[in-house]
Amino acid sequence: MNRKMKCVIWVICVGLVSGLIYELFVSQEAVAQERQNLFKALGAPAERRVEVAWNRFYDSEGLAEILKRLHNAFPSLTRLYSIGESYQGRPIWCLEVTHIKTGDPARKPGMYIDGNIHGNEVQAGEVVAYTAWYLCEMYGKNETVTRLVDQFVFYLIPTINPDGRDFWLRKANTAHSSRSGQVPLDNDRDGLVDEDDYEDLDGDGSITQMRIRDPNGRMKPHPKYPEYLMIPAEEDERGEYTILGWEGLDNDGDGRVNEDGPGGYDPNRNWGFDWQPPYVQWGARDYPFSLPETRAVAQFVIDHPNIAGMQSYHNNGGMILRGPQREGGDMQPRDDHVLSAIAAKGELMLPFYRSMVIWRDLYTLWGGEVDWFYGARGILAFTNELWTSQNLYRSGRTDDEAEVEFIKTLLMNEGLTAWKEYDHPTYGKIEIGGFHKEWGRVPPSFLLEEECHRNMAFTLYHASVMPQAAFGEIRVEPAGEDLFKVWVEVRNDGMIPTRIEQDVKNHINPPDVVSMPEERVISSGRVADRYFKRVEPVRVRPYRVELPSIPGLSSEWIQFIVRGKEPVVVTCHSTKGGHIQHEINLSAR
Amino acid sequence: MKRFCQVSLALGLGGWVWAGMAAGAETASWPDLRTYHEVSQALRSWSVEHADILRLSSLARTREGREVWVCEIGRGTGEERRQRPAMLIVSGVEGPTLAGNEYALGFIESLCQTKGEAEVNALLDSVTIYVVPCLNPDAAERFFASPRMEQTANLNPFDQDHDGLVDEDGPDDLDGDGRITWLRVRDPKGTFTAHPEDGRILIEADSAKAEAGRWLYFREGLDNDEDEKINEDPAGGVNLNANFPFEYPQFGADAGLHPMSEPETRSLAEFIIAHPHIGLVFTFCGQGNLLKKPESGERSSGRNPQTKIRNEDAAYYEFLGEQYRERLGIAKAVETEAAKGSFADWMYFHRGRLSLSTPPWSPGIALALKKDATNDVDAGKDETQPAKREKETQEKAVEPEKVSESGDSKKVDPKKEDTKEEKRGKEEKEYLEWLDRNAPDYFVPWKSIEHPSYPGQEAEAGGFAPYAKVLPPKPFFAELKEKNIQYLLWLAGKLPRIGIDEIQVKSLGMGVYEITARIINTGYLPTMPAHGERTGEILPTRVEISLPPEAILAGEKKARIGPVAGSGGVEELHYVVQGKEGQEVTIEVISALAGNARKSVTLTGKGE
Repeated sequence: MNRKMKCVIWVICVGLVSGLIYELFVSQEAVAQERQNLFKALGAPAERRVEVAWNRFYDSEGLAEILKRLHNAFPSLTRLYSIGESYQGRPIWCLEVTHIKTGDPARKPGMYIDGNIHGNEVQAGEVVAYTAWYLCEMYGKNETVTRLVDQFVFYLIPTINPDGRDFWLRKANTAHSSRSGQVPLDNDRDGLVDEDDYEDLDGDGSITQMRIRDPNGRMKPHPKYPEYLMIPAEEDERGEYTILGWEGLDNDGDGRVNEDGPGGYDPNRNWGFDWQPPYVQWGARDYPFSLPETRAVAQFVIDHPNIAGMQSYHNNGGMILRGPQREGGDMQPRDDHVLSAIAAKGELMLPFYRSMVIWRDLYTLWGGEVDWFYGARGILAFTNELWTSQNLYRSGRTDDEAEVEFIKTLLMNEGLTAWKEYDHPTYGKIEIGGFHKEWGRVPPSFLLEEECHRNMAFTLYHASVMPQAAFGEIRVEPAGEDLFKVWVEVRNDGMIPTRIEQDVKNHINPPDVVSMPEERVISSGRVADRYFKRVEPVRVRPYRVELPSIPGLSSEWIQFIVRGKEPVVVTCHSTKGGHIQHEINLSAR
Repeated sequence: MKRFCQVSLALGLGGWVWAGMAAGAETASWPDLRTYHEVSQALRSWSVEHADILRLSSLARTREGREVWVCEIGRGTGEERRQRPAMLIVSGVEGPTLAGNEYALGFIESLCQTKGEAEVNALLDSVTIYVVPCLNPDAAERFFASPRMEQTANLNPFDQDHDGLVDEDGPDDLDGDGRITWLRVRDPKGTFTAHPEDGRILIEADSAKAEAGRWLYFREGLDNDEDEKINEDPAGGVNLNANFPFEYPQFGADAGLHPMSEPETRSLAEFIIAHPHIGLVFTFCGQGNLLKKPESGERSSGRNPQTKIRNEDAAYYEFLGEQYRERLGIAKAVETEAAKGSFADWMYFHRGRLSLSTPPWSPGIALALKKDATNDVDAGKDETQPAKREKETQEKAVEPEKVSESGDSKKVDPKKEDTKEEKRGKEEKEYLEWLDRNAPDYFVPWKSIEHPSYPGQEAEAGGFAPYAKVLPPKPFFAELKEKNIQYLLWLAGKLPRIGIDEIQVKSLGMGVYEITARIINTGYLPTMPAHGERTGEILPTRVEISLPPEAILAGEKKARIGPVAGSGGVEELHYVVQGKEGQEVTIEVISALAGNARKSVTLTGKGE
């Protein structure tokens, strides 16, 4: 063996031995060190199977990876599947969280949570992913979480617009640009599609503003922060600058800048309830559910009628929104009462968030997601507008100066580009500068985890009051030879009725059915008053009694006249309240 | 013996003739319609034989595996056809509209067979015609089913009565006559009463008129799922003509869970979006804005939805409707029922296209036709009615029951009733009289029957046969089909057509020229309807001048103009440009619905 060969073998051996030593001693020691040195702060587990940093944003692949890791680490608590594909072919991932051994997931009351239908409203993705993470990691460690995950099923979809999300995160944007998806649209109706987008002329990663020196301008530099801000000139004073608009060029030579970027519509106006076309409602596109993303969600919800609660996440403003989306839209009084009660709880958990009605307190819109979930599917639904700048100082102060101070002192100047000269092909000498896209609508890193946890807690509260059917008292009275009068109490242990008023009024889901085997039942009825023993007879198919709904925290009593002494099984099928069975022993009484 | 043979022979012959007549009478009035397979075969063979003008493709496949056919008709390359003004004809949005399907197929066939003739020949080079002969083939095929039944909705399963069971209770052929007709049952809970002048017709009883309803009235069927309701959840489905987003009937019985929920409607919508040059739509369906001038109104304020046809557009509906009635021989305007969520309405109110519609046949059309088969007198005119009616009430006074104060039923003296005409069920009754003359087997005489849900009660099966109100009887069918084809041919010539009338060049000296281009619409319809402009679903007309931007001193290289009225409406564009003597300048106009045009001119002329 020659010298060179010997050297190579020697190096390999050293490497192997080092690795072995490390594995056996060093890394183990590191692990042991971890376990010894980690302690719990309230609200999160000390030891985690899945480590996730909640102080940054993830693109659609990053979010998918979190869900995959959770599924791999918690196989008995989760299922992971795609509910459909976006326009650009990205899967829309859903993590279904419930304990597999405590019942068929499709028959448990379901809490549906999604986010980020608007591409730029990215922190919604983290809030939903955090919810998934928390439920998995705290199962078995926290009684409340364990109960929720055993009894209910959670459908968690961090982003229902992955195309828009990735576009906003990966490309230069403003805080507001691209709430849209990426399906092409000829916004300026010139026969060309998506031909004139913004340009990051100064390469700072964000689309900021262009201004030009103009003796006829109405803006002048801010006295204290001239490198960042401007204020309007006095009425009788000449200004110095005119704002030209967002950074960009006239790509198609039509005399307009940035007038037709990718997409250019509003996916939250594409839902099939009280929908109106674009000339009435901007951004609605051609017809309800014409977009693959909204269609995928709608089909999923139609296929999962057990969904009894809904939450979607947007930004910004600090709002807990409920419908109706337009004046005169569907909202039954009793449903509004329950929604109000839940939202009021939310106001206590989320500082500066206000409980609001969309059309009345925000603006009128048509074809929105929340109204479809409530109006068309009979599910109590909320949208939370995440983040309010009132949270910067917890004082409610939201002016421009306060924001600049925050950026300078707490973010070490991250988030703003000072005005800088640029030579523009059309306008000539201009200046570019302004707030970055990560400022204004999404929280800074250290306030993001707080946003995630507080909003998650609100949805867990909503989930905890979902309908839950349960058998209560059972009374058996002999009524003759081989004949029994049986009264069955069916309770709803949740605050939300098994079918809300909108559902009952419009026959959205089938009624709750309380039944016994057909051959055992001679007659049945609904007990209208159990003190005065008033029973309304059920005329057809007495073995299956249809109940319109079981009100929240209340019960219904059903009377069965049963033949035969053998035990008889009573079943209650409630689409949203659950499916339960109970065997009644007749002769032992 | 000889006598015996003679008699039996006579009886035998007579019996055979009678049987033949009876069988013939059974089918004598019904038109010849093609099954789905026959239609598909015909379309396929035409698309091969006339491949130069006809392209056949499928929009979608239905639940029962049938194709929703679409034909594209026109000469030239795909690109040429895409640029021409285009018209779309749709039928079968509602299942029973088979007559309209046949008219649409006839139109395709007619274009194929006359493609060499002058008028059609020119048309095939200047417009593109799309035809969807049947949007709901599963429902249409129920005409040929056993039992025959009218099926409006498609055949996707749907829990109509919201009891958790799906499609569990549909119609049944109780009397075994091969078709689903009607049942009436005498029952204290009945809300119908016999029409005072024709007991075959049932009308809603009015207790204010001291009438007691005595009849239950419903489609032939049993209570299959024993829930004390009959036929409340038949097979299917969604009525495609209630599945479109304009004034969509949310929670409507057969409207589906949301607009565009069905593959048939969704694929048609996608087709229309992919063919934005379609400017005119003609639909055979239950609503007829060609039979009567539709209601119209002003532009709605602000961002409120437009709910009535714009007054400016209604003028075109009026003219095209008058022409339709005249050419079809319909003597007066005919009322039809409105429909929420319809295809025709969606095309106008949301897509901004002129959208014409008519039933291919209806009782109202029958009564308004200038002639019918048995008499050439104007059957539709009002003056003849009172005389006829008086005669008939004396002939067939069926005693309507009236409950007097003492509770006894009383026979009503028909002569006393002459002065007050019964308005309820008027059209139905008049149609039945018309059928008695022209197509007697369209009405099945009421016949006694036993109904298991009403043991021992008086029950009868009969009434209007399925399709009796939507299919023209055979003697009328061919002529109506031909007239509809001729109207569609005429209509195709009414599309807008953009052109450049004239380009004037004036030299201002020093190489500066003034150019004036006059754009003209030589078609009948405007380049877009008034409401079409508002919806934003039609691209504005663009005018482009070939010179580079530096050479244009005034005027736009890519200009947009507003809608241009038809019949010679014009719009002028002005440019001031710099160029060389003899330089060629081209102006191109691109209209979404009115085609394209281009014209060139040379910069020339002496200076001032």
